[in-house]
Amino acid sequence: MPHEPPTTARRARGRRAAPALMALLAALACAEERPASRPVVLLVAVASSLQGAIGEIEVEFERAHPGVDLRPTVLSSGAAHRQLLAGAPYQALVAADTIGPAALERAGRTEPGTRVAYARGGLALWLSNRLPGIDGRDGLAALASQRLHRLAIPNPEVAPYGRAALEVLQRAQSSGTQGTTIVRGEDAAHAAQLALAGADAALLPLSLALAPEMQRAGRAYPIPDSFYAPITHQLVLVRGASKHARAFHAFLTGTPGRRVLTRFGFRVP
Amino acid sequence: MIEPLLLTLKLATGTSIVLAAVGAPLAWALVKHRVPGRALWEAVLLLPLVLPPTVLGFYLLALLGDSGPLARYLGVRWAFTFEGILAASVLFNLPFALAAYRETFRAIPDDLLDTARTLGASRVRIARDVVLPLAWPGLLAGTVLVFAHSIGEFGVVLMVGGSIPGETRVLSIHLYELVQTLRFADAHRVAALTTALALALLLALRLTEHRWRSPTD
Repeated sequence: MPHEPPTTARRARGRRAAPALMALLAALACAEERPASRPVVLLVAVASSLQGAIGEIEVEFERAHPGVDLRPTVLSSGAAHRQLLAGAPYQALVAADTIGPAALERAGRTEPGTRVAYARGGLALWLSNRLPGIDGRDGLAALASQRLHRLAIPNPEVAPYGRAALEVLQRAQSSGTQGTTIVRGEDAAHAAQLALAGADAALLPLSLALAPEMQRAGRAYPIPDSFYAPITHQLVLVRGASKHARAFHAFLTGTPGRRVLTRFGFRVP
Repeated sequence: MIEPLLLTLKLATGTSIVLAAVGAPLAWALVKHRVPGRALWEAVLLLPLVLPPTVLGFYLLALLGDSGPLARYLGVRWAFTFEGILAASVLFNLPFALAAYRETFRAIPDDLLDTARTLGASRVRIARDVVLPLAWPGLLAGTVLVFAHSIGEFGVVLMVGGSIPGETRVLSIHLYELVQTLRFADAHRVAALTTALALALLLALRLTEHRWRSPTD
């Protein structure tokens, strides 16, 4: 079928639209630029409960080790463990539990003697501002509230804080949480996102519940330690890790790392 | 944001090149040759369109991972590498490319090819002087569509590639991670960039396609 030739006006409009779009693309691309220098890249897998702290750890570590570009990938401890077993190129696993680091060690995939506990995490009840008037100070009573329709928790299958959340829920069951739907996030970060998107409450790592975004939309209450088994965070270096990875290990378990972790609600050994 | 953007463009370019090189001959074979079990072939090649990306990603990870057959027998370790996500992207886009290329080749009349053959033209000559002049607008449109579609790649890339900065963290994965880590302001920028990029491509396609005319139109 013959195609109607476009008028000159339409063509001109087309010619003007393309550069405008290109300019928009360029402007957006420049909005978040990185320095041009090329330091040594250090890839590490980081549990999502550390997502708030890792930004500061990155800044302080790179300040102390100028030649190194620390590139964290934030994911659930279970996913990190699975990816490392499949050959992902991370040099360190900063987990939120002991399962992944122990399994990697058993598989002979770690540097001997590098598996250490670097922090202990706390669980918090986060209550949305959409749900005023419930007091979160006694965690179990708030969980039993009839007005709590949707509660977000991390997936207990892969997220250590999900397992802790499940323990707390089982305890609360006796005081009755029948009317509440449990929404499972893929990991702690996803649970936090679900909480922001529309759950009334969430059981989250304290470190996440204290994040500015969460504080703006709700309030966090630490859950007493006695309600769940301790959440021990372990760190391990992957076999063949570089000297920079060792420096990162020393940084995280040393005074500077512990200072940052404490600020984000973790307890350090 | 520059790095994931460049990586996305690299992935889309790679996918388009590989698919043009592999997909076009494959489509030609399916349209113009008597392939045994053609219906089955066509169904198998369409699978990536229907299967959840997780299924495709799961199989690819089993195939490309450190304990998979490729690593064990050939020493190819493609999980969590750019080559791995390129392979995933090629597979994922194969049905799109094939659909476009097949329609293009189907529109070339068999009489024309027969005539060329009767006149003694070689296969190369037929391809260069008969097929390409007729088929290039369709081939180009299909390839550009594959390029645009690669930008939206997510599930398979996440499963096969993880999110390794500079290696497999493309725009879509970068955005996912920004949302996951509640960095909404950055997430908005990446989402807007991706939308603008896709829109620019589709618009460019729409504005220029009237110039892509084959002699039969």
